[in-house]
Amino acid sequence: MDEHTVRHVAKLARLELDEAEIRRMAGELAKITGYIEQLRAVNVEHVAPTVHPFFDLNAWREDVVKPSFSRAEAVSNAPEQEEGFFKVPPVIE
Amino acid sequence: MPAIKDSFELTKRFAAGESSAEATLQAALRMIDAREPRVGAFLHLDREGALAQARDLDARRKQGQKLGPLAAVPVAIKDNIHVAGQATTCASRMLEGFKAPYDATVTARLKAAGAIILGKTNLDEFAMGSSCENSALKQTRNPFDLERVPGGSSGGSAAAVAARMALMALGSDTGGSIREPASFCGVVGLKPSYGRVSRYGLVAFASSLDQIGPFTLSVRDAALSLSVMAGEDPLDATSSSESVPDYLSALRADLKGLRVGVVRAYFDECPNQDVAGRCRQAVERMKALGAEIVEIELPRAKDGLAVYYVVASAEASSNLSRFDGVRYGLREKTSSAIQNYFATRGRGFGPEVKRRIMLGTHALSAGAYDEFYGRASKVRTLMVNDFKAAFARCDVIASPTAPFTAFKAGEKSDPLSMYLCDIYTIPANLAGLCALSMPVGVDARGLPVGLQLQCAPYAETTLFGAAGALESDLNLNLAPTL
Repeated sequence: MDEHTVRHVAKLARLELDEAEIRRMAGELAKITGYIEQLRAVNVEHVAPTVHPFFDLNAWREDVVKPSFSRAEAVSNAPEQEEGFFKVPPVIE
Repeated sequence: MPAIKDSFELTKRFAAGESSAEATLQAALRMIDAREPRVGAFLHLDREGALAQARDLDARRKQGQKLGPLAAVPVAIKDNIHVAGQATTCASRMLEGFKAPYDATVTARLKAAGAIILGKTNLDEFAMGSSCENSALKQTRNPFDLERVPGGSSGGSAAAVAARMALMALGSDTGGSIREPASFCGVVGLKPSYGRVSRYGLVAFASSLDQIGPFTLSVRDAALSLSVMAGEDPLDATSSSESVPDYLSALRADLKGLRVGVVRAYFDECPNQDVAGRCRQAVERMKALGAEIVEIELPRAKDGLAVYYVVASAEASSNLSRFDGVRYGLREKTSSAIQNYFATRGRGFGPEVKRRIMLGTHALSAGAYDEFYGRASKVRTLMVNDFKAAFARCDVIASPTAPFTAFKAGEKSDPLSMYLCDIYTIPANLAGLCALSMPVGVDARGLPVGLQLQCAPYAETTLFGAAGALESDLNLNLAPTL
């Protein structure tokens, strides 16, 4: 994990990091990923992954309309709103 | 009013007309006034709302209405679980000012059962940490020693119950966030089996690991609160349709016929031998109560921490992508919508949350996926298989909850050394087990030591049976002198 990788991953994660953070993060993540490398010693050939404790479980429900938030409630926590819409700066100039 | 032992006793007294909900609440609020300035467990208190709930309960009792199984119990809620109309901050700058528009399912069930919601408790930011020191808003202290941490991430809830400011509190446990603070604060902390309790209204950290559970002053209280909270919820597709047994009737006096599994290394290699010693004594008591002690192996458990930090961070990086300054919380204004994301997330999240997002994003990124997330998910399978083999030979696994007792604030500055707090608790989340921590004594400094008991998924009745019998036998009554 070097500073170059940190910059790349921060971009993927949409995280603004300043130069000091990038340096610190590179050191800390190198240590953590170094620890994680112990997993390389484990033989995982022919082992299926577990991505959820009970993956065979599926929950079906009737497709029926139920009461939900009003528009005003849905946008009540928005940092900016206008007429029931979430307001953001223009994406395309 | 004589001191109340636990919620169970309180509800009996309330039902018998020996105390009113308002008087009970006032007693809790007096405790908060006296102790909260030193402990700092709460992020917000809802005195008026709690008083209204208490008066309503008293009025309904007067009318002869049948009240729920938690009637008049003052409860605190970790601030990553929604209570309608109250703030949910997750102890992050990112969610300052956010007001929950709805109740989490657990909140709704507690209210329906007659519990009085006191307010919201401190945590490590977004539940990421083991000491509460990652809270962006407050430092919570351990009621047994104010220089020490309460554990984390649900440290505020653990401290609130330990200090008797609440008789019950909710936390969330992704890798030990209920059990480790319960251990540090000398209370009972339960992580139910994955899917046993609805996660609706819990701010998601790692969706395949998160479970909500209670902090209580007794094992029977943990059983009582799980009876209220457990069960299928159409609003959480991962909640289980398994029927909910009567947990209170699972409590028993002896342990005849129970097989207790012990991993020798968990005791021998424990860095604090005071902790190992107290836990060994507790296992000996279980034997005296009729249990059979079985040595078991969990060969892949030593990889649990590495698997966890890949899996939990990967899921967190995805779950926390919703905090982008558009729909709620902080927005850092810049010249463009895209730059808003970077600035908002860069300034809103604290260092530990950023580290986990970075680690998780990396683990899922092209080129690193197979070696990180892919490999960790496969080792996770081997860990699940270890537990299946172990639970063929025993009914419950006993170990220390944490490798040490509460440490001093600021003592663990290195992220990896902090992660090691959860070495014994993490495997249960990866395998979906139920597990609890219960106090079994104190170390040489007088700090509480927790014993962890783990059972197979949905074997909570076995868990409560084992823990309840041991608790009665030990008869500890740990309480801080504050």
